[in-house]
Amino acid sequence: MSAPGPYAAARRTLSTGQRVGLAAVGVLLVAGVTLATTPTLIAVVAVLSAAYVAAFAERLLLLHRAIHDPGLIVVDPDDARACPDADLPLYTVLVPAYQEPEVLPHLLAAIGRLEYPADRLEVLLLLEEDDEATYAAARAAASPPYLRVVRVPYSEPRTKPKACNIGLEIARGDFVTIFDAEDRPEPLQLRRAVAAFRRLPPSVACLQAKLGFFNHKQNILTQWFTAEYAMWFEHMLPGLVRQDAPVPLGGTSNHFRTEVLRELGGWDPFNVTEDADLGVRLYRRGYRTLILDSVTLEEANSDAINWLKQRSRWYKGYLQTWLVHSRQPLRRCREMGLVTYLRFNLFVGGTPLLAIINPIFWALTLMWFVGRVGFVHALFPAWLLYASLVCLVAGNFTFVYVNVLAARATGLPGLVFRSVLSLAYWVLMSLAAAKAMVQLVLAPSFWEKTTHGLGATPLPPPSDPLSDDVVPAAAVATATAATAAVAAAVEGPTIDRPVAAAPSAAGTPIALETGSVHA
Amino acid sequence: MSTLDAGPVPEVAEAPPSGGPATAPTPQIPSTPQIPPTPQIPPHLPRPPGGRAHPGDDREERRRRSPAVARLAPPWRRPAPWVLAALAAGYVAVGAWLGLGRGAALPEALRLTTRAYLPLFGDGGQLGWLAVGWAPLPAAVQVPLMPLAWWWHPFAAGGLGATAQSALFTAGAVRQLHRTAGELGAGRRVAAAVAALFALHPAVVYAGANGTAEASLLFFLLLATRHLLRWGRGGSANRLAAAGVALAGAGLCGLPALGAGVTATAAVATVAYRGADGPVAARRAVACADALVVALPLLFTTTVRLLIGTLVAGSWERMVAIGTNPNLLPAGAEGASGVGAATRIARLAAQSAVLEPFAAALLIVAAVVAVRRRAAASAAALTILAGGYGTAVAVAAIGPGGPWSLGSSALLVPLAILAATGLATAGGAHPPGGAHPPVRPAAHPIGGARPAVRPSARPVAPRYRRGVAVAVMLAAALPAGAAGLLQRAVAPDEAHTLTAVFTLDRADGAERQRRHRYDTDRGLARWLDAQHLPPRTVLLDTETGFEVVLASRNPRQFAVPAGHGFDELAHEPARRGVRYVVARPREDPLPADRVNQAYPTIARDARLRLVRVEPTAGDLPAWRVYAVR
Repeated sequence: MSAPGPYAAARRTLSTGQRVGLAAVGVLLVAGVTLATTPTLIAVVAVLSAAYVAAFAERLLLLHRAIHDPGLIVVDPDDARACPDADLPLYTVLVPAYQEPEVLPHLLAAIGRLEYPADRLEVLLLLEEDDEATYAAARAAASPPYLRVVRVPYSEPRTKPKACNIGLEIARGDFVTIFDAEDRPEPLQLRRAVAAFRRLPPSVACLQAKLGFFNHKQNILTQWFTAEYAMWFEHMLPGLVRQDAPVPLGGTSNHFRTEVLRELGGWDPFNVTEDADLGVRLYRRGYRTLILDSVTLEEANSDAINWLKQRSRWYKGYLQTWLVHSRQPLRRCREMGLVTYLRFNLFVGGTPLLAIINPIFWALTLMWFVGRVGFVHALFPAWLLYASLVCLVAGNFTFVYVNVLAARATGLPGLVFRSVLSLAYWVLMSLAAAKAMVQLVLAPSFWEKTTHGLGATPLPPPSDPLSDDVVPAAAVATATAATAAVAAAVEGPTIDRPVAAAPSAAGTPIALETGSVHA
Repeated sequence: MSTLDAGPVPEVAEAPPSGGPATAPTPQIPSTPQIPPTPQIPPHLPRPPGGRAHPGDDREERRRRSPAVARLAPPWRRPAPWVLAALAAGYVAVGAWLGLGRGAALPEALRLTTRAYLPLFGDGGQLGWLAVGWAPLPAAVQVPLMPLAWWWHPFAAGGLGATAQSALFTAGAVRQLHRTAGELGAGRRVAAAVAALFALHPAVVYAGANGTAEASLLFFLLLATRHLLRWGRGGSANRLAAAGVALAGAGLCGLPALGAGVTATAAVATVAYRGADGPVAARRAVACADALVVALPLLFTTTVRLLIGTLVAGSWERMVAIGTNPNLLPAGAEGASGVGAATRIARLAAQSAVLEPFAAALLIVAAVVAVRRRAAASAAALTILAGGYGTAVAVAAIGPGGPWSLGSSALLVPLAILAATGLATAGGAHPPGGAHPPVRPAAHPIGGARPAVRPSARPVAPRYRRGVAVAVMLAAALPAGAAGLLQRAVAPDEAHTLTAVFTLDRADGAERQRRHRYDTDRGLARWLDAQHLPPRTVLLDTETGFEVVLASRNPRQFAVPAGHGFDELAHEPARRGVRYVVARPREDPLPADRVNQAYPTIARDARLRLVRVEPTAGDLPAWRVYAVR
């Protein structure tokens, strides 16, 4: 694949200019604290408060826009089904997975339910070279004709975007999408996406489907998570669309025009929220992302530690994305426009920023009201105190209330009551943000794996027939080619693809071979 | 979303996805043209090569194709901005004439202005003082206007800042009532007529001109009513949230909002429960969820406001006292304790009668019709105004303030007008714009699959005749309300202020003196200014001496009671540099009067020496100025 441009890659967390700028700010802060402690700290608090106010105001604006007109792309089911099978394009589904043997059969079952002709579908199961468990599960599952297993050779960074880039290289579809291993896409989603893409202008290069959770009842964490996702996909992202601002894509169910994705060089393998980064890059190149009114159900993280791992990765990725696209601010302003660039900063940078700042202000508030700590009084002159207090109170209530509203919009009344307690959820978010900050310094591209399969699944057992198109397990895997260093195997009973070589993300050639999964 | 997806989407929904009370999908409107199967596209997208706009690129085209827009926001229902601006200007003109021209500015209005004035012009920036009392919002919205007082002092001292806020809120209330009438099914002319009857009602005009919190309360409650009505007619949970936020706004404008919130929550829960499907537990969960959505903002703002207000005021009792302080009752008026419950109730009944003479009849008939037609959504929306009215009346009947002002019953005006509108349009109910059949015919059953609007078996009367009768009943309120404003037995506050303005020959001595009330304050301010005092050297309770502060050219000289150091200043005035203590001595100091509380025996206090009794031509006792020894 063609690597992202030198300023688009997260291989380096900070550019030289950013390092110099950060060092200058640090020196100024130290000098200020040394020479004029109180005024400097007041200035810091004022800047943080201003950032808080701006990020909060931006979210209110997004909410207002989304409520007024969410601007979703709606494709009627009849309309989606109207296109004859023969006229449908080849659609590639990328399924990056690692250590997911338990949930993989469910995904294959869900893909089998997609109302899309098997001969127009290509599913690339992207498995790491050392992931024998998932590979074995794939071999054990039913083998539809459209499924190919791709073994991703070992190379650093070991991230999902790197695997997706390999999948993109060999994808044959006109459109490409990604599903995670635990996903349950709506059966008509691909058809809806095709119908929408055909009617939308070429500048719309991506359709982001909405994400929801199927295990929302499992515990309070999954309930909070479900309400938060509803807020994200019902209000925040549609609000960004209405603002014509960059849309940080969700992790899965984003549908692309393949040629555009290739033109952009695929995903940044060093960015741990490669989807958010890709959304910004699409925007910078003049392409737009819209929200498709179709739902993919995922598994909400039900374990707090597991949730922290996942959320800290998201925050770290947002910080990476923010830093990457802030390296040449003047150029970004010219590309995006000043207002849009500010919005990008407030949303992508503001998301982790709010989570980091919030506990600081709460702690200061508690220190003042409970302990009457003197230095807190010194930090907040009257004008700053009232602004900060109103912002803190209104901001936190707005957060809770938007969650309540989003929970109500899901049609799950039980979630509404849990959402009232979502301030506690913000404590978790703040923990995750702090962890993300540390990781951004120590291991910026380290991909913390999210464990799936902790929740119940509403789907039938994987032994159920997938669809009429499923080819009985008849063929036998035939070939395993290996290069000296690494190898990837592309297997499928019906795909007649010659062995070829393609550069991996790290520049290492990988071998492609045909065959079948099943014995 | 303009089209409905009935496909096999793996929804996780167990209950109505939109948050409305119905479990059925949003109804399709037969007369609405089917939308072409084209995805909606935001209008801002870059155009495809060739420069041709992609489908949906045009905003107006998108609006035209959207049934939701067509159904809920017909262009005629939006009054032209110049109408609203003219209305607001009219209210401001009346307020300016009363306040500046006739000296009839209300103490409550000036008190609100003082709270907005002190953070900018006073010493110490006491913004927290805004949270004290029952109406912080009308004071807070004046803060951005106060810089105008730099170049035109009467803007603050004459109460024009307060008048500006009440005028704008009243114009907004007229707009909300106009739109609500449209939601109730009124045609263009009917909606305009009822809005005019509302806008020209003497009590409403007075609320718009007098600078108090009544106007803002009216505005927010009408806003909440409109959103609740739209929710009840099939709107999404966003409408419910909008109603909740509007109620929260009302909660910052007056105590009656709490009652409105309670009744609205109960009504929402009832409608949601009856409209939900499934077992009792599921219906109860839906009802509780919807109730929570509508009640949470009011609950939150009230809690936070009371908390901050208590902290700033120093104690709960003082906070409550400031909110209900009757310290500026008309001189010579009967004390609250001197009026029995029967008298209060009789006066409240008289107030309601002069505000809307046919209100009782209209409300009873409207309730019967609503029950007969199962118009639960409309009835639920009107419970907001009913709850607010009930609370205001109850507080006036049993609270320390008493029913001195028509403001206690003012919410009856929009309530009666909207009930009358519902009556006038009943039977031929049609949605806003008059172009569509009922908004929720069978798809929003209340208590089963019954239609929301049941056609009457026989027409009671031709609609125009009914409309004329209703109009006559509402129009009768205009002269009755105007007369009521000047009746001492019905509206002592208004009569005390306005009698000398409109019927000088009928005014008694106190009423004639009323127009000179603030002359005393302004004279005192001039005297104090002439002393050229440094900051925080004059102790004056700003809740009673607001006009002294507003009239002064050196407001920094006053130590604001809201400040943390006020008690220390009062305790050791000489040591802390206090030069003067200003008070109206009272036998029984009001709980909110911080100076008289600090110096309960001020006339005999050895630390102080009486140096001046400000001559008074007004209707209140003279200010006494004590120098610190």
